[in-house]
Amino acid sequence: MTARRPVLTDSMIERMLVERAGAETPADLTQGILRAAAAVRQNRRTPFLPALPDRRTQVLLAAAVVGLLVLATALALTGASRLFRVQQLVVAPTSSPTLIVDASPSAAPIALSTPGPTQSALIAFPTRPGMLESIADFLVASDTVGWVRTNVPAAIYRTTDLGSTWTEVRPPGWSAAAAAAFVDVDTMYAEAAGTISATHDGGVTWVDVAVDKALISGRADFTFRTATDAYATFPAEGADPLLVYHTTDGGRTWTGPLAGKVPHLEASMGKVAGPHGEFLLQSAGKFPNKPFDNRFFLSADGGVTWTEYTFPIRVGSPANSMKSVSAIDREDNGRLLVSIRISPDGQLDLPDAIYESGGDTATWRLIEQLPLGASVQFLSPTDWVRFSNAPSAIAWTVDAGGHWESISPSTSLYDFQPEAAHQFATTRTGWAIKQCGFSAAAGCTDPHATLLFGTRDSGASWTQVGK
Amino acid sequence: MEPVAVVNRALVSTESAFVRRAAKGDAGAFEQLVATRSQHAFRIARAILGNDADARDATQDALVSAWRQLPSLRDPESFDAWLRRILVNACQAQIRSRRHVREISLDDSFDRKAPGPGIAEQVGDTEVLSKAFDRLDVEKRSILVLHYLNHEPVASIATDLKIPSGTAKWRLSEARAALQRALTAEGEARS
Repeated sequence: MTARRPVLTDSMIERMLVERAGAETPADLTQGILRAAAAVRQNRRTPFLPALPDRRTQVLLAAAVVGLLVLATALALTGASRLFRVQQLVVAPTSSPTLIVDASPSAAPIALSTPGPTQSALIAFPTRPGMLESIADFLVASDTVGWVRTNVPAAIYRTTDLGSTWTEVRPPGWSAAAAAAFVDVDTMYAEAAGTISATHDGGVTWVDVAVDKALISGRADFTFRTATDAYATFPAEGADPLLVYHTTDGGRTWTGPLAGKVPHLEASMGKVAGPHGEFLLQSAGKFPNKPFDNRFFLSADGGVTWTEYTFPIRVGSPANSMKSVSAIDREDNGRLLVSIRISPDGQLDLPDAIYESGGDTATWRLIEQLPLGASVQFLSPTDWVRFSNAPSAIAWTVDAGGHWESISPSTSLYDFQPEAAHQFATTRTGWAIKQCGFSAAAGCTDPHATLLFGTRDSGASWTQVGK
Repeated sequence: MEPVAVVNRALVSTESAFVRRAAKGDAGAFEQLVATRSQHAFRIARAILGNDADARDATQDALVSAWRQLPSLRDPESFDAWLRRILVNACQAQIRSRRHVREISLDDSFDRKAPGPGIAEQVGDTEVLSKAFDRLDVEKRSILVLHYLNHEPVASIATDLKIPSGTAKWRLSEARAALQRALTAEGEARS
């Protein structure tokens, strides 16, 4: 078939850009900017990151931390732990070095109690026409279980048979504006108007806890160490940019708020998930008249403390290039595995590369350079999946990159969305989103609609979920 | 001197005064700068990034960065060009940040929009072109947005990007050619 070769005119470009620019500006845009600027104003008064203590001081600090923990544990056993629960959160030792940015809570620490669980009846139904055409978020959690959040209608669906039937899950107070995060086959958290809800049985029962709405501004962002150990990070109304609540019992009680900080990098905060938990991430950017900033910061506690890392600099990862972390796994023993994307001056991508930390925050060992255009997802320390939509290719390894099994998909992955929208639960089972576009074969009537595709054979074949 | 020029100069002078005051930490002056520029900045970011959530973040990042860096701005009258550079960089950072999070943003990138014209009518129209545009790197997107949406002449773009005028012209031409190639590729993918 002969390909169409449309002629590009100036008016076409202009019309397209006018449409992309949109007609409306968010009503609270200016207020949001001014609030963020006010937070910067507060931070200007004091240096943001304290200098690293010397070795001897680190040892003394570590001893003090252990002492505090022992003391806190003893007090907890005697029922006098209310204050120390928060201190445990702040100073809990991790295997990798952590900069304590701000250990003081912005308000008196409280343990929030929870009312009794609410319960809802869930009735399974087959995929409804149009149900999956506005997917905003999803998690394929196992070979059979998945979650989907849609915008129109604003709904959350869960399947236990990989998309043949669904139940509609409704957290208490659920609305289109609420925050939601899927964790595993049974667990999700949500936040609506300051009430944080959690379920650990697929949405049948919920526990919910209200935080002080006067302190927060905007929706919660959740990060998880485990299904029961979670952080809810809110934009704050006060001087600190973030307020962080923490639960270690699956959302039944929350402690906080703690003051969260944002590292002084010229970049946006993102989130990166791995098999051993999720992290808030700040990767360095490039701004006029400044050298490339070859650092990134990770927070495993919702933004209360941050660890600063230096990107690897080598051939293929030059100092003068944009870099960011595209995949991560930080094990409890401190082993850090990252996939790093490199882009010289933000223009032409170089291949992603997987590195393992050398035991500190600046030394790296190159594990593997990926094919150009491919990205990797770490399912476990040893099980990884590699995905590329141009050219269409999927590969997986179960020995940490020792050997890769390559798959040539029978379906072109060209129109699949970038990596944020494809995901594997195991090396066999994955979901991916593509936009309907003009695919007559898929029965598309709306080019903006989403299509959810799934594979059960490591990416060899993909079928539309719900069809 | 033409009266219009006098008026313009007066406006520029007033704006420069706001910039100077903001650089000295005057929050009220900065609010004024934000109030008069956030909407325009958002439209540029929206055109580059293609969705509300990322555009909002990039706009906020850019203006907050501007607030942070204002004391280092030597020429207050170049504030707008300086801000556009920061905005383009914020869009770049935003793209790279968003590409690497597992969580899918709750923006409208997957939204089902209101039903539009049929497939036959849409082929070759803005949807296809917009998708082709998404395949360009942020530098090319930015220069096209500055020229075709912001209607900036090449000389002005050169000033914005701190590059020679000839380089700006070449980059604009390259970006347009890249968009043509991407559009052709889209057509091939759909045929």
